[in-house]
Amino acid sequence: MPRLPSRLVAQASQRNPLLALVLRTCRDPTSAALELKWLRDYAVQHCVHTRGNWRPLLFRLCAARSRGYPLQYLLGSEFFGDLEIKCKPGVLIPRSETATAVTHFVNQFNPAAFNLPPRLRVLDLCTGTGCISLLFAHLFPKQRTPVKALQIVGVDIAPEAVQLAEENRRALLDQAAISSLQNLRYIQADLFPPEESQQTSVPSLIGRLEALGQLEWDVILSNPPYISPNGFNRDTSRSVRNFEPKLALVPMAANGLADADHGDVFYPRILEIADQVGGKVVLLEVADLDQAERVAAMALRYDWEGVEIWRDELFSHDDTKYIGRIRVLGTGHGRSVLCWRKAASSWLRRDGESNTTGVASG
Amino acid sequence: MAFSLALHRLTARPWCLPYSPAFPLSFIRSFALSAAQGEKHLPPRIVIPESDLEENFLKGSGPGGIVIKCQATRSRDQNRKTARRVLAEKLEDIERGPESRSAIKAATKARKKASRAKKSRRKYRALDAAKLDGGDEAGTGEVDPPAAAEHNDHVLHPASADNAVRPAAAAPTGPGVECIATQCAA
Repeated sequence: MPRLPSRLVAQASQRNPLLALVLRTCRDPTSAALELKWLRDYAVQHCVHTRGNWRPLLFRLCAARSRGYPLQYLLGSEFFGDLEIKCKPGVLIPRSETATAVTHFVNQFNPAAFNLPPRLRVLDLCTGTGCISLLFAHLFPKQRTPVKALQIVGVDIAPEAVQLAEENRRALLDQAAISSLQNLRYIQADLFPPEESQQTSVPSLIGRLEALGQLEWDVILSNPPYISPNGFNRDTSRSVRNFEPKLALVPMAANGLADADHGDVFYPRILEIADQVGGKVVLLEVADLDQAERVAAMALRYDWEGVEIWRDELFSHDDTKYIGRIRVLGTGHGRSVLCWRKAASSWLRRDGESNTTGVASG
Repeated sequence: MAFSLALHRLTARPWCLPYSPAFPLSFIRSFALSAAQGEKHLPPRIVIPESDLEENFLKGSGPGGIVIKCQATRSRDQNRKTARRVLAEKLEDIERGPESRSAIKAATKARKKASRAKKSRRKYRALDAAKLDGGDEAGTGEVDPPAAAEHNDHVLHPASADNAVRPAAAAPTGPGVECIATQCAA
């Protein structure tokens, strides 16, 4: 990481010594000033309740931020779409790119698709704070599809994640009275069967679903750990590397795998689960376009009717191109892979678009 | 969290119609009524079609046209809404000039402020006059000039005394950081 120009640090500390602290992590005066404003607002607000002095609190917050401690853990929340999601150390912070992808995904559903089931069953694997399932539950009813009810289950291996997701669900149910959140629940389970699992104490997902009496699911959403060990050391920021849970970032896998394969460990398993539960639509988050291509190729091997790659910015439809037979939408980093079965192509307004029949060959 | 919004083309805007020569008479008359009633007839907010907008999350270079950047809050959704509102206001200012919502609002605000200032001046001029009369009646003027001056200072400039109190009341929000907040908002 290049050294900050001393002129920048001097200017910041002249404006406010705390700004120089925050600048150490932000590295940009504009965002440092914004973060300091949010931290100050938080400190003042916090001290209104506790009747304490907000200045020492603000200093402690800025000092923590200067060491790279994530802003969202300090403030206790992050915005995800228009939901405010609680964040706690030990659970991955939701990212706005994920929210954009989930919003775009919900917008794909066709309000006139009468073959949509009256009760849509959705699995959110590796749910973390529960952000994806919460936003989906919040946005989906606004799409006014023939679906009458949602049944959503969020799954995570970490007990603190399951607990926080449930806390988030309750908080949003109380504040915003989003009624679709009533049919949402979170369970602790391991995606891998016991013989492949690295953490044998947690029951496996299929077993838990059997116990729930619900083995059939329509939509599978997932933002699994997808960073390879080299990527973790090389590409992640200090904030992420030192303070966010590695369990949520890098897959646990047996030694001896190639680096890229190590990052991809979850995807074949999720596609396998999707097969087992009769999933018709799968949306997977990925790290970049290379991983997106690898995951899309896996999905084609699992005989999905259509496979599509989405990049970060999906504002314009002029940016569509093809990599082999796979359609790539938007601009920016590769972000998600969408797969659908033939039965669901009309749900997503993708009738006649198929990767298997070669319609989209390019 | 931050992003920019640009208007890169203009389609026909139906909201221009109420301002065509076929102006309803009642609309014109309402301006002759009190300011409170006049405010009810602010021109409607304009809605820019999404298809005329180009949106970008702040990372690389921005597009051309009228560009609004907004990163005031932590919520990207909130920033998007704010940017749309600011862009609509800017566009309306350009299109309608002194007849835009913001111009009418600013004019109303300025008129009210002027009226308040006038009333305040009138009040303190009257108080001042009364005090001068009172001072004359006390009659000992030459004997104790400093006391009289002090007394006058206090009564003659209650506005300044009020100002002296205000920063102290605002202190809990911290002036040191305040300046950063205003710079961010700009």
